[in-house]
Amino acid sequence: MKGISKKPGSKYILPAIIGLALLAVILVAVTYTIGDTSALSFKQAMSNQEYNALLIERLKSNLESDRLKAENRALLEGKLEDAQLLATRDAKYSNVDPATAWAIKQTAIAQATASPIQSTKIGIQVTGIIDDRPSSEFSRKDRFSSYWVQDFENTRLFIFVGHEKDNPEQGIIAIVIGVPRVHPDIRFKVPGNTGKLKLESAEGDWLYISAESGAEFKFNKFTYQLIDARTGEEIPVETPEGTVKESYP
Amino acid sequence: MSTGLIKSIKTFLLILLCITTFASGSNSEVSGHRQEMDGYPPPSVPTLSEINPARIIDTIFTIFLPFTQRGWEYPDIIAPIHSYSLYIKSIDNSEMVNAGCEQGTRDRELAGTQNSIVFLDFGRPNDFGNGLYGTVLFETYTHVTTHEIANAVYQYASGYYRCTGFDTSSHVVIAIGTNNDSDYDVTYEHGAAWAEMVVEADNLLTESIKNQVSLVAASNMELEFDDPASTTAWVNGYDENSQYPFRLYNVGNASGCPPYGSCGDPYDPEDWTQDDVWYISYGCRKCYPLPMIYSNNWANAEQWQHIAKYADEVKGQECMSFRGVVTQYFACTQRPEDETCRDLDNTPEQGYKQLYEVLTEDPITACCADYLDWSTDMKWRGE
Repeated sequence: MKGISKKPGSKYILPAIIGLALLAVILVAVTYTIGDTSALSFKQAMSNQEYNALLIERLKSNLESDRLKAENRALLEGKLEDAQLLATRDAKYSNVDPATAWAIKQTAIAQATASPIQSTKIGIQVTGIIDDRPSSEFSRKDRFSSYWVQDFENTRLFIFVGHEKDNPEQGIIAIVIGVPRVHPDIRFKVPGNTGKLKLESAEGDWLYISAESGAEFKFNKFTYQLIDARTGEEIPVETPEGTVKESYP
Repeated sequence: MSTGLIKSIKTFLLILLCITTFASGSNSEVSGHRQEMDGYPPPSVPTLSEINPARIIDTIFTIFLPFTQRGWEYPDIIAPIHSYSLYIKSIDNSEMVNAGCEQGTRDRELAGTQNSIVFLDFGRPNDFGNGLYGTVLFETYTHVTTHEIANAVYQYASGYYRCTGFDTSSHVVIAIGTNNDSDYDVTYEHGAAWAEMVVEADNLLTESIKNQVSLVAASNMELEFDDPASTTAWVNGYDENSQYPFRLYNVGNASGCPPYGSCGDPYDPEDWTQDDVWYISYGCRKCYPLPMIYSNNWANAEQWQHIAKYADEVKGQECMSFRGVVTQYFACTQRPEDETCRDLDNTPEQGYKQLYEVLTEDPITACCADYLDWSTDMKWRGE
């Protein structure tokens, strides 16, 4: 078939077409992506004024609905009334001339710069027995009923008593020196099925603890000795979990 | 078929494969609905100075080639920029001014007008006796009164106001928060004291600060923290005693609720029900929801969608108004030893998208997402 000879260079036509197609795909992709700036943008939150206006419309619409239960009508009317009041207030504070606002702010900034606020300790560092549990983010596997707080020169001592959350029979004493965050520094399991523990009183280095089972203990804040308060005998405890992170007060 | 054609096809497929693999990068596991969404950290909040051609080109070749563009499962969802909400450990004046200044600086540096919410969580409620109420701050266990909290809010607001500088239109809503995490002090009286405190804080703000700052109350009400009776009593205390209709946002969960169970113990008539969660979130006059969407497996979003559906179907309250979501991603990065964070560390973007998606996929609750444009992430202040 010598008559059907290929023209010189014809073998490059197909790869060239494919190459161009590929290039076109990439160009479309790039164009598409640059056009789609959503990847670099964020939803813009509406102002309180806009929100209140929309909420008012919605509440009105809901109040006209046959589906609204009679007992909830007063509730929605109250919400509507509040939204209208807030809308009036927001309108007052939203329609301020930017130039005026900036002038007033510059004065405020100048005053604050002239007399910067100094750090001042506010609040009370309560010490002694606290009849409440610590914050829930602390030692989530336990449920404490009360705790002891004592201040030292550079740190604080916390002793929590309670029980294991999943095993209410297991009494727990936990110690933190410094700041109680997620886990206690040291966690003792009190022998026997004591049930929930509660701090009753403190005397010198000793804390007096009652148990749901009726048992009574005293616990040394510094040596961690656990004593049966009735017999005066020391109660051996398992090796506690954890170690003290900060130096002991 | 000629050898040249086969070679060409092979080359084309090879190039295509290379581009696809390269572009997909770490997103290869994102293939369908409700799988892992965008990785973290998300692209940092773009200020004007950050949106430059180099970044756009970089973005194109790392994420957004259309072959593998992430977000196909959420085609219309764009999350808002998140603010940082704070667990407060100290209310020293300078500490609070600096905290407000950080938010103000952020808003000033962002392009356009920003409207955000920040939840300042002052810890658990406390009754000092003699008619004096307040909270116990996180971790330091410092006891502070409602008057001191009002002052702390003023300091935060003034820090925000000054640091927004020439930006006089951005606005922050400060949600003055406590929680229901106490055995004894979550009471009607404490709720009433909280209502008085919000008014007190508002009275401290100057008129010019009020142009850029407004106040609401909030409480981190979690079903595990306390029983419905005392939590509801606190909410009623707030609702019935506020001299001005500052809203009360429930920064809460609906843990254990449908579709995963029945909120509390179904055999305990005193335990939590959907009705209780609805009441403290939207049922009381001043109540609005600001749900915690923490869980990676969408459970929180689904539970809140069911609360919205309950409001519609049982109460006839259409379109329960969700304004935003709360996540705790940053706080979790600050507490890597906290095992509970393992499954509860949605990024702000993930939390937002989960709630938006779940609400809008059901025609009954789709309208509940109409105003969903706040996103805030919890952070331990001072670390």
